[in-house]
Amino acid sequence: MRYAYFTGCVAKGTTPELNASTLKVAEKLGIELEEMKSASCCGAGMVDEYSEDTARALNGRTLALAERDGLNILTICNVCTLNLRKANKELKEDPELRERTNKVLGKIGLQYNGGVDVTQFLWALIKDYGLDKLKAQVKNPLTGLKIAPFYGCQILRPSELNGFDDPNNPTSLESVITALGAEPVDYDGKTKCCGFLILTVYEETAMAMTGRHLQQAKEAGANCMVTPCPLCHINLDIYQSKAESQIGTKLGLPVFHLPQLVGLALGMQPATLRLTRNMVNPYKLLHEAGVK
Amino acid sequence: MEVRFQIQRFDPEADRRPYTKDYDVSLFDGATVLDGLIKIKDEMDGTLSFRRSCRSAICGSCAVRVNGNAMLACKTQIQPHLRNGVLKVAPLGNMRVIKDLVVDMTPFWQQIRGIQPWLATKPVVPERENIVSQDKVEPLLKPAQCIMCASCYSDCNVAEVDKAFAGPAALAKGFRFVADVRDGASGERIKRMSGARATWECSRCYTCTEVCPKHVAPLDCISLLRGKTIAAGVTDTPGARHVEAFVESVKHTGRLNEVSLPLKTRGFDPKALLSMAPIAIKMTIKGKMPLPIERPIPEVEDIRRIMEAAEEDK
Repeated sequence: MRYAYFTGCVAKGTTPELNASTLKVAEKLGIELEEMKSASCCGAGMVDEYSEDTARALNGRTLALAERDGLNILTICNVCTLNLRKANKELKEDPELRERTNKVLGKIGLQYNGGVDVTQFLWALIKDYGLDKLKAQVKNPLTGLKIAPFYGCQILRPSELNGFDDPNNPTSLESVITALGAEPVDYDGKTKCCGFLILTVYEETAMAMTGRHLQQAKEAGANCMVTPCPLCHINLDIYQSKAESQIGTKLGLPVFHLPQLVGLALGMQPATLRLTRNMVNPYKLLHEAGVK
Repeated sequence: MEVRFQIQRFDPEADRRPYTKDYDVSLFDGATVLDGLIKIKDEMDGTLSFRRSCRSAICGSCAVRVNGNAMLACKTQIQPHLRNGVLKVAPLGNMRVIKDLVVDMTPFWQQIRGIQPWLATKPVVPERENIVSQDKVEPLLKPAQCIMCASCYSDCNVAEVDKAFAGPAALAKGFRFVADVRDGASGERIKRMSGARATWECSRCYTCTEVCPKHVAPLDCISLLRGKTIAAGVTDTPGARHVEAFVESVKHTGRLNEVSLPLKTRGFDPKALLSMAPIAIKMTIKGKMPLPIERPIPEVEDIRRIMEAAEEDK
């Protein structure tokens, strides 16, 4: 298993623990990740709003670089996943758009012929690596953890571009949680929006969204949360204290990045997985739950 | 086909809170949710209230939540939604329940009315009819499909926490008029929606696009509306500044600068800066604060060249 590894901006910025834990866990599982060091930002939908052609050129370049190396792309962020998949679908299916984008890419000696697939760490774990194989690697079953899965929007919707899970009834995160020996907790907000993309524009709205989902998860009996998306993680973890003051309730719910959770079950040290960087301290919970 | 309908019932004159009532119904294979509701009302329980009219997915009156998600009862076959023989039906969200599956759509209509969904005539009366070319009609086709069933509004994640938000249907319709070459008030529309809790409050969750039974793709319309807002030079809002700063950052370093972006978005407002300080300090302590000056990625020159080339084509 070898991928062109697209970290995205945030996993190298405010959530460096995601990049670090992904690399460690991949190494342990024998998944080879070739980091795309010269890949640009995916545009996050913002560049699309400014100019669709520009966003398509940026993602076309990233796809062309992976194609040149003969690799499929693995992402660790929902927004990167969606934006790369959107450009990929357009460039694969619309000859006119492909020609227009290749004209632009030609200026830097690249072209894209549609030979790359874009997957997410969560999907790769299930589809490419396999849950049975993952289960066999579990040294430290996470038995005491009651985990609320938080999917994040752009790994589910629009299903026309993603399509791995049923957006109304997804099961992938739950299946990984179960494979790691923990218990998934169902709650209304698990497929809803954390509000990250309006955090700096309408902070109160974003915090009301985040607070609502965290509170529901807690009321449903979860003692922690997991998400495959670093942008959700910013709202759920870094901004949890703000969400708490907005909804007027103390939550204190630790939020894990997906690879951190996998790493714990594989018996890796919390420090190796950079759990020290998570804003809501998970150590007390891990101790109580008997996770070393 | 045997189906157990679990229907949310509520009569404000008799019930203190909504409750669920079960109905076991025998239906033909391929029956729709509306077929089931009609059978229940005709043969089992005449007190059940729901809206319906055309049965052909064009009047937009029968939208309900099936297993938690908004859809047209008449367009939705039961089979794929059955879970262990059970189908859960509830009224639309984000609106007050009048009775059972009937909601008060006033907030939805208020938002639609707010965008003034009619063509504003141009100050000068044209001498002949408006000729609109095919490429100018193209962008209007999807939003024009809207049947105002309020499915998108029901499930909108932002409207769930902010009742002042315009919502997907009104914004898609707003875009439809902004993009109409015959409209004489595009500029005012852009300004009005950009200043209100409208154009820039959508969090891009794609729920509207997912639930829309007519494939309007409201979020795509909102993105295009944002593009038109920036192109019109209406950029004195945090939302527009956010997009401009984002593009600038990618041009400069090939990546997003997470430190300068929120600062530029909020326009160096001292009060906003102060409110950001506590989290910024905590982030620094945790080692989560990126450097304020990002180093460009390798080959950043290539990024700049293709961004410029793509924009020239524009």
